[in-house]
Amino acid sequence: MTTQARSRLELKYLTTVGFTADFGGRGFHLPVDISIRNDGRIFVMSRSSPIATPGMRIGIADLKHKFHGEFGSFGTDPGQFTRPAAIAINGQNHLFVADDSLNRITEFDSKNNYVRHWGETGDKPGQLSGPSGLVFDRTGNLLVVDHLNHRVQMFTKDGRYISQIGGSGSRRGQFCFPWGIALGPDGRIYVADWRNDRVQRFAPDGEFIDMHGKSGSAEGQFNRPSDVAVGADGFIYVADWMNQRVQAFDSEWKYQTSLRGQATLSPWATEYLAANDDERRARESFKPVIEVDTVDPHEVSARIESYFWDPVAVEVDSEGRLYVLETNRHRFQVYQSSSS
Amino acid sequence: MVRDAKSRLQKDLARMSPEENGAMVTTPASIETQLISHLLRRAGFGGTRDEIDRFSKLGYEATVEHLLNPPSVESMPQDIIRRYHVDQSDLRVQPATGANWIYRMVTTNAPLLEKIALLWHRVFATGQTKLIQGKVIVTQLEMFRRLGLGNYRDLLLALSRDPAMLMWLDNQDNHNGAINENFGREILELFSMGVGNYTEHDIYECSRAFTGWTIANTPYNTQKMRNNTARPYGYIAWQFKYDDSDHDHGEKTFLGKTGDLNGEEIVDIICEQRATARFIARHLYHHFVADEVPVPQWPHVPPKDPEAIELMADAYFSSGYSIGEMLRATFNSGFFKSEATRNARIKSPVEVVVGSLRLSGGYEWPTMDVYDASASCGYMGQGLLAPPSVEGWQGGEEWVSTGAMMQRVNYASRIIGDPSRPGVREIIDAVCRSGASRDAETLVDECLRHLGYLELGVETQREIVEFARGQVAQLPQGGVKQRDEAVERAVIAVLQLAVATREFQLA
Amino acid sequence: MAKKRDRALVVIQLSGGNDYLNCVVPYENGHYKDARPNLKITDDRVIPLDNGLGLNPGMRPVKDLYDRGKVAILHGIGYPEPNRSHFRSMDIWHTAEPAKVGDKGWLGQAVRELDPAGENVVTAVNFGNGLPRALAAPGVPVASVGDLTNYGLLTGIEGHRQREQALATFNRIYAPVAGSGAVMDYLGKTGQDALRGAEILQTAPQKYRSDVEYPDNPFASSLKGVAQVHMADLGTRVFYTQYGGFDTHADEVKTQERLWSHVSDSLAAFYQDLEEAGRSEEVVVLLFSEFGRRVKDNGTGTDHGSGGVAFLVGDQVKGGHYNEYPEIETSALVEGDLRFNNDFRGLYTDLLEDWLEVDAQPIVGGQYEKLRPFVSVSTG
Repeated sequence: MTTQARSRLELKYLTTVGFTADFGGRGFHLPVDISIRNDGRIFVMSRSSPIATPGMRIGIADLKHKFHGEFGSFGTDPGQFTRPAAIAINGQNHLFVADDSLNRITEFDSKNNYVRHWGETGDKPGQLSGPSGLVFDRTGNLLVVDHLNHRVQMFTKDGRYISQIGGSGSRRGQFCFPWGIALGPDGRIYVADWRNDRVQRFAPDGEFIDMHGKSGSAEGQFNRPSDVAVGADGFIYVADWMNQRVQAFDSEWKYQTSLRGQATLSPWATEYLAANDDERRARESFKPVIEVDTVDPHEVSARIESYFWDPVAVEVDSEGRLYVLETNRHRFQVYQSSSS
Repeated sequence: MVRDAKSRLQKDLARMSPEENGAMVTTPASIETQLISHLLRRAGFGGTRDEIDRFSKLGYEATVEHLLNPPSVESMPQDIIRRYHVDQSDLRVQPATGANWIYRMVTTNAPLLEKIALLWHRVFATGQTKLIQGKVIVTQLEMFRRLGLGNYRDLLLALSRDPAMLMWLDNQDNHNGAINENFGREILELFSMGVGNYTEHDIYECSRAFTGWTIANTPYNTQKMRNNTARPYGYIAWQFKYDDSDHDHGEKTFLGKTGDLNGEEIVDIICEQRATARFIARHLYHHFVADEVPVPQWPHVPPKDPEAIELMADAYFSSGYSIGEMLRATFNSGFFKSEATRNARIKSPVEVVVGSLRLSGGYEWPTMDVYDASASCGYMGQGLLAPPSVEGWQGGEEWVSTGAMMQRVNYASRIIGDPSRPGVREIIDAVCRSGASRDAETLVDECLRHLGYLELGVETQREIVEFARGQVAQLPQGGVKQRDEAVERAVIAVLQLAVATREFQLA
Repeated sequence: MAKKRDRALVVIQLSGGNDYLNCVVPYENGHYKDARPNLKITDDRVIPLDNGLGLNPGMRPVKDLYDRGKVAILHGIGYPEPNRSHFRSMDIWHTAEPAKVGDKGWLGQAVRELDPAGENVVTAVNFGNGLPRALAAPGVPVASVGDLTNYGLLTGIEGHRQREQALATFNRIYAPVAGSGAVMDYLGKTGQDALRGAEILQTAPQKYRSDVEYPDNPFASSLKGVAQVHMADLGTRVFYTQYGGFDTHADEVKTQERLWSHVSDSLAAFYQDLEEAGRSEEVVVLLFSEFGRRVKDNGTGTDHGSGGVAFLVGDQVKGGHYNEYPEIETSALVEGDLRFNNDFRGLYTDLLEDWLEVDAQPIVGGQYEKLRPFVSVSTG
């Protein structure tokens, strides 16, 4: 049944979408999750910061760099959030937001109107503590990474508890502060087991299958992986967060390639520079990639604008395009995958 | 499970947790205990009662060694912080950078490293106010932790290559043939010798020697800073660049030495000077021992304790410019331990805030409280990473105005009066357990011990005992539960008043 | 004037850089339309004023005050060699020191002149947290009030009676103790001053009687606090408060209009409050921002620029325009920004000399051309 990804993977850079917009408006601010709707609309969750709350919202863009507005805001009222951590879209094009501080899941309809929210704080089955990853399974149930409880719980979309997997630890099937979650084309569940520096794979019924990775920065090793995505062809992409890269594997965890980022100026950025001629001129002599005198990947990313800086979330769309969302650069880079 | 997760993290951190300690100091604090609490206030942010008791068993000199060579430098891990507070990863704005430092200061096992970073942040005052982005200053502070107790030559050289410092003092505009003297002047006036130990010509030659010491991508990075803009994609952290083609290779004479001097040679010559040793000693004295007159007056006013300065300067030379050795000599000296020195220096805002938080706890896991703590330092007049000018903060009485006083008193009493903080909870429980609440004098004594052996003046102590007597007298005689709650409120009120005293404002 | 009372100055800082062009809008100017393809305020939305200028749609109440002759619009205000850093530019306005980093605030120095012995600890009151640099001067006491109804020492003590007892103890333990040394004496005096200031300010809300309803936002609460303290006759001469969010790099049209409607509605309530109490002749309000913004828009907002607009509001203000609107034509711009033509130190001189009646020159560091915006200038 499982889709085999045996051939060699190639990733070709397509474009960068984004712009720093810390008070709202066209662009993003410290985004943490991305979700692509079946009509190509791209939803980006800006977690922003607690001291500049107007930046907190969901922005909508497309690959043609059109901005389609934003919704949601900081607060505790229905339809608001205080520490949004993850988003997911279901088959009815409803969007769900996980708030890892309020411990609630908020549902918006396809017109971005608030529908309902649910979630109760605690560590009993069905209760939440720090929901930080969301994905819908093939039957329309919602898998919630309940990260302070070191588990993944399954709910109906209305919040009725079904089952859970995991628990605190480093053995097979246990988690240490898990973060992102993805569903493979065959329904298998992939979890970024963040502080165990590995990705675990489960059958659709929650049975442990296998896991990959250990702490480090070599090929196939991870430093705090934050998210995972799986293409229709079975290739697996891991946001290797503290190593500031995205690693790709075939379905048998065979290492394929690694991306460090190669962002270019988005049209939003270009328009900005056109309005600020002094910056545009100063940028003419700007060399984005310089030889750095540090080995700390976070520091390297801070100094090189085109590299990923905190690549927090990865997504693959139906056309095989890989989206890499970067918190600290307020943008996402898009790559076309192909296999030969 | 949440609790489980957090306690697990704490094990990960290998935090220095107080050992089980049977012996309780019930008599007034011994001199050893008083000295150790003094040392922890100056070389750190004050100790909890447990810490002080534990170090008392270790002994004073061994405590000095522990502080100078901490066995663990763990604090709240950055990966955890960055995941929860995404704004503390790009470290762009001051609320985030200040909060990030608060985490370090409150949770570290190596408080002297933070104290020394605070000293160099004060002397080499570099501010986001001009540089806009905070990341590069956070990197500078990391360098202060790494080198701040080591060889002064290494520190001064790293500072001269520090991109935040170079931009702060406009050295990107210091070109061969077009000298900008800002850095060349301040390295002599503010960072090493002080006015009166060199000539204007030395400044000029020093500036020439630092031509070509700049940052990569100067035009664009400078323009972004000038325009105060994080657009399009956030800031680009700066990197040091030595541009030999822009360096003045001509002959220079600096403090009597002649040659094709470059920045490295200048730093060598600076570090050989007795004036440098004395100037640095005076800064250490000002920061760790007693408030000095404002720095601009130093050329005209002799040090408060010239012998102390000479002792530290001797340690500087005999150790090969080691700051750590200067401090070891200081902490073990008579002048540092003397009664006149103890509880005589006005706490900086950071000492008030971090000291309160280390007593109260509540930082075992990321908390939004950290932003309030950082902002409070600013309200009291010490915005972290935002010194008011190149001269940093003067300190001393300048820390205290009516507005700042209100902030200091209210902050400490709010934090220490919050029983939801685990440290406060522990203090209340311990005080209640001891049965001290039956007698006002015992109650006050017990509270003061738990506030790091806080010493009060006779009059103050009498008044607080009087206040406590009133609280104890008002305790209901009713049921146990009702009484317990009332006892707890009384204990909290005494704790709050104790940190509202003048004595608590002193270190 | 019915009764000779002290005059008060209320300074409102609009933080973030208020966009001049979309605040006082040259809506008939072709260059304006060209520079703002994405966010020009169109003829149907602007509130027409005169001289081809109009106000932001959020400023309706300001227009009403303007029509009554109570609003002076101070065009092209700024300082030489403009700085586009929020902090630095604000600091320049606070210290009146564009060339070097100053350490004393212009209002702090004014307060020292008004009350040299520091006898009244509430001569200056800031509504907000911390101490704005404008009010900082050695030895000058300033009360910084977050919320007037909950202002005081030891606010962390919950029980009312407990707190009263604690405050009484506080007062005693801060009393001078013979031989305790200069530092303890200084702390003691400062602590008692803080206590006294809080006690004085606490009386203001109790004395206050008014039917005026302020809007429900934090800025309006601050202005209401100003009205309460002023009407309590505590001798406060300088009030300071700020409202933020004007840094409109994106989504400017919506944001700026919202912010200005908060400011204008609050200001109108404040003015009405003073007027109904017969106290409006005693108060002048200054509104300023650290800089204006780029002339050309960036798609959805504008970036940091220079050359801005300030306002004076009050009964004693001669309404109308002061100075020219700077040229908007591209060739007249300085690095893409408006060229300032009105040094703010001139305005400060007006306020210091003719409103607060203190010597301006040592504070602003020289002589600057005054705007003479007041109806009846003091004869000294």
